[in-house]
Amino acid sequence: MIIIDYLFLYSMTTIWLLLAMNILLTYFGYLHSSEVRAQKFNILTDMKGFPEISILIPAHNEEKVIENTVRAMLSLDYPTDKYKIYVINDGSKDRTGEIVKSYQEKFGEDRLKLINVPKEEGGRGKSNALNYGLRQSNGEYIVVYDADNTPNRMALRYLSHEIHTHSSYGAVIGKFRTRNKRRNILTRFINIETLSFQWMAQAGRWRLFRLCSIPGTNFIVRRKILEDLGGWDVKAVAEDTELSFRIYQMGHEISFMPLAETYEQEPENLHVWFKQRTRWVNGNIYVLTKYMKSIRTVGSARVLFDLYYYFSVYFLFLSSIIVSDVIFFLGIFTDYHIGITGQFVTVWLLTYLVFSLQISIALSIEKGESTFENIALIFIMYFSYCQLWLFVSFYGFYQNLKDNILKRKTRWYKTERF
Amino acid sequence: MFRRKGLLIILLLLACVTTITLGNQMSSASTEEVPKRILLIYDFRNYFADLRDSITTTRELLGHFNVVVDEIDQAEYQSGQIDQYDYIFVIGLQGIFRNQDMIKDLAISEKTICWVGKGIELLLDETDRYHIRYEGPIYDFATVTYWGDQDSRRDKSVYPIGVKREFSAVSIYSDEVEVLSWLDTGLFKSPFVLNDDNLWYVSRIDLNEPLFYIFADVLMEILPGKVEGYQKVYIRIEDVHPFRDTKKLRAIADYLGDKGIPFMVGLIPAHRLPGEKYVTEFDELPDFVEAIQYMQERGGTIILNGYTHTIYESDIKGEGFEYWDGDKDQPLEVNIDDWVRYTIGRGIMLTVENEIYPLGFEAPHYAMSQGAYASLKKYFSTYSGQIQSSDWGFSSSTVPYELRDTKLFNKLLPENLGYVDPFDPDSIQKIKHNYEMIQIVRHHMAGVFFHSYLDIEYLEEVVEFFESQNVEYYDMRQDFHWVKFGEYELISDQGEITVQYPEERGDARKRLRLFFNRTAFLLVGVLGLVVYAFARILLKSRKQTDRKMKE
Repeated sequence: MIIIDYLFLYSMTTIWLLLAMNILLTYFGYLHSSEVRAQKFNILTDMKGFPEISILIPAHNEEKVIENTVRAMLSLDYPTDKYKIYVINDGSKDRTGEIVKSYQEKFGEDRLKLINVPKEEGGRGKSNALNYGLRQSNGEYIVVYDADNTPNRMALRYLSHEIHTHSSYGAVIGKFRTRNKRRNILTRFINIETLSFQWMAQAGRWRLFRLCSIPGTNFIVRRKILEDLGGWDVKAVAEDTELSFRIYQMGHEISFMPLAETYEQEPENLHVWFKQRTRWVNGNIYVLTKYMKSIRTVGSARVLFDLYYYFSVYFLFLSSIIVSDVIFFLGIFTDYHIGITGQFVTVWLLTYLVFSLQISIALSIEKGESTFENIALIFIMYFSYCQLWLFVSFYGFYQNLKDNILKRKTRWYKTERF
Repeated sequence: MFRRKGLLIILLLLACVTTITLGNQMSSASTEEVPKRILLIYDFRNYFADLRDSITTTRELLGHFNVVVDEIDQAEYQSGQIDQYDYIFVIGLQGIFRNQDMIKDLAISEKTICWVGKGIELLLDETDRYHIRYEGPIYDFATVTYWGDQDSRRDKSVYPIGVKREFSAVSIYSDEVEVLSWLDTGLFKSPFVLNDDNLWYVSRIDLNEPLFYIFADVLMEILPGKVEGYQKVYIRIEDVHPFRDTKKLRAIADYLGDKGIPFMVGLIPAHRLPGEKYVTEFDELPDFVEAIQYMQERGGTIILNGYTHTIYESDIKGEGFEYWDGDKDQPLEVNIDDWVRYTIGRGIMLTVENEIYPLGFEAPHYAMSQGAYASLKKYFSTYSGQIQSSDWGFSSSTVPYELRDTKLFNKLLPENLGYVDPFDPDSIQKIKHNYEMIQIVRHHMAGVFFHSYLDIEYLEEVVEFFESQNVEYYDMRQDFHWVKFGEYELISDQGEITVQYPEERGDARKRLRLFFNRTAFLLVGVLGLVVYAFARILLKSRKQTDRKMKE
């Protein structure tokens, strides 16, 4: 055996480990969806009490979207005296504050409050803004929405019911969907990606290990927990992932409630998409390295699992994909071939089929998503959209390295709105 | 007292007689075994523009007999040197023998002298003991007549000799001279081979049939035998490499096996597809391994035809050569010992570990430098094919019978009939012609080869011809051959092959390969199941969603 064979074996083994894991996740995600669908619970009549909720919406130059967001928040089906909306305006240089102010005047400060973060305390990113908002608010539960979100009217009820009736839940996350999915092929891909991610990684992990990771928007968390944790980690770019880890470590569960839906705007061009995704990668690597350093003391098996999951995605899987791509191209263009023989082409074809089926299953759970067009897109996705992730991951790594070396401070990384 | 003495004497006498008889027996046995010594003196090694080395070819040819040969340039000859030898062969390509000592010694010598080619006049000038006269060079001979052995099956004795060749013609003037072969211009005759007292004279050294074959047959009159005399034919299935159609291979094995014809299989254990560097070793293709094993079962003996039939690790683009630089037409510029050891070792290990037992070797296109032959001798007892007699350029010469213990070979099973070429409508006719020619030689071995990718009908035609000639086939497995490479050792004798090799090592390699194959197979199975299950889940889930939507 020569080195190329060992590399091939390495990449095949790791790709397979992750593939096997995703096969399981798909199945359990599907199981979870069936169970949720089979529930005979009526959210309108069967709610047991309405706890007090503070909705935090960090906003930084959001004039394009904030009005719709505020309106959606105001029309949530939840007793008006039981929830209060806080728009945390962190140094917006546009009309964000103005718009929110007008709604505040119209609906009263008890329902909607604009918090302007003072200059000296602001401009340090989403975590910082959330922490500021947390201090100003007083609800028993904290709900976070991004400034471009328009949740369904029942979303808050589902989130609140889930967390309020299950004392073991530290947080409950809802599902987000793509508002602008019909915009172009990129948003269609993103739509497919987010749905399959949520049904596989979130629902599947929840059903299998009783954990999932907070997506940064559309989730509810106990105020007590946030206070115990001292709020969000201001150094984290992926503050949501970071928060999830700390919640697991405290021994709480994070549940997935797919009926609590919100719609958000996804990047409509590659440039914005690339920036957003590299930020996620960079942020997740930060979290991963932060917790890997103290891996011996994490204690919780669930944290270990999640760490492994992230590790396998960002380190093992990524490196394997790179290695296998290199081997693939070497095989085509040069004379370096693997010496190991077997039905590997068939294996690959079947793997491709499994990949496509997994995503098709995830889509089939959603109304109107399992269309012929989408299924055709899945088959194309493997060779196009998915491959782009390679560059994203690379660049994310590079960013992380740069941040580490330059000891850069966190600031607002904002996704451009359309 | 007397009685005792008498007994003692009888005992002593008995002891003496036994010792003498035993000694006699032993000495007669040893004289039978001690090879005769030949001194081969030459003036030049090759004809102008002929890449074949006539001296090497002749020296190798002598390997059919129980002799050892020392070759020297005539200039190096020292007075009295012939005393150490039983036979003196003088080969004259130009007839330039300026060494007077040599001529003088030969003129008075009682040893058997065999003068082949030019320069005989120098000897005839020196002595009157021979009854022949030198007539000068003659180019006009058109045919040669040779009857040879009385038991010969030949129904023909006159052969055309083709293009103009120079013969050193002699005339005879005594009945004491026995002429074994005549040359004829149509107007007059002159001896091609004659025997006068201790002198054998052949009027031209020629490596082509029929002249070379006549010379080869005449040698049987002169020299003591080594190989038991026989006339046999072999068929070798050629160019069998991992990408060959196994159905065809099996069909060939069935055809020959059903007829009870033993055959050889020229196996190339690894193959590189054109334009690629990746070498596929045959054990990657279980179907092929089984086909070769099947050929073995049906009477095939494996001949290792190189390792890849290419010089695959270097940049030399030698068309199909492995032990010769086909581009520059010169020996490979590598350490040839290492290269031979590497390729042959790999070939032996691969085959043996897969229960395929090569008993002989054959260089791709028969191209091999002299150094490579020497290296090869360490690993294989037996070589099948033709001889590349020099390093001046690629060429091959053929011999009509088996050779043993020569400088180049431990044992050579010659191929001399040619092969079927579908692009040459006369190729089978040529095989038949070659077969007819080889009948000149009484103890011959005739070999033919057939490319495994050709239509089997061609093979049938060749076999039917052999059947019409009532040939006896040579079965390699019945003979003694050995193969040695490190701990890998094969010995074949009387139909049995003894194999020794570190099985664990081979097994470990095989197990690893098998493991990967099985893992891949398992993955296919698992994935198949997952695909099936997921497809069902997908359909179910779509139905559920539809139902929900209707509600």
